Amino acid sequence: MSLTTATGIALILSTLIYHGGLAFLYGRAHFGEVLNLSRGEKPFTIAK
Amino acid sequence: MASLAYVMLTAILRDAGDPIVSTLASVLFLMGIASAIGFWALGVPVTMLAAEEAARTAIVPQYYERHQVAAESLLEIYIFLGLLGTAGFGWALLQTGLLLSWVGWITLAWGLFFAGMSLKMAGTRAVRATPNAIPLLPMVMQLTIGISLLVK
Repeated sequence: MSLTTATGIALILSTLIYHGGLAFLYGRAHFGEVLNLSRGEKPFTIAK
Repeated sequence: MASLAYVMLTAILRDAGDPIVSTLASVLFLMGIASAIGFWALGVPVTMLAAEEAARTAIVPQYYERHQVAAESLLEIYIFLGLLGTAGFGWALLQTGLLLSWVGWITLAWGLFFAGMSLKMAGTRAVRATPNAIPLLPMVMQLTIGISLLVK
């Protein structure tokens, strides 16, 4: 495998892993909701 | 893994005739990734501690606000440095002709435009209330570059 091909695969995989992980977090209940809360409200919602 | 991929991309760009800009772009990206790690390391545990304390006392601890400001600043630094690095890779792609020129132009424009936007919005409430709070922007163009390298 050439360095160019390996680099292409590495760039694609790292993007998919990163964005996939974020999509997984977003898919979990309340994650998106928590992000949009103010700092004062976040701890209470997370504590629930 | 992203940092490894960027070092590999830098090696290709150096071989293609760009020893400086691609190296600087890679360093910017690595510094940005270190900031992102700092955000997760500082932000998440403190948020969990604050949540536990808020559940016990019904009051948000005073240190939480300061820690969140610091943690979110690290995230903004990551976004800015990552986008500057993206612009650098775009410039290096244009200089070397490694990929089709439109890939270089889009990468350069993407990095510069959103780096300017992130600088303009830095520290404001708007950047935290929008999806920019999720650091997607710096890593979008690497998918385009990766696919372009594969089909080259």
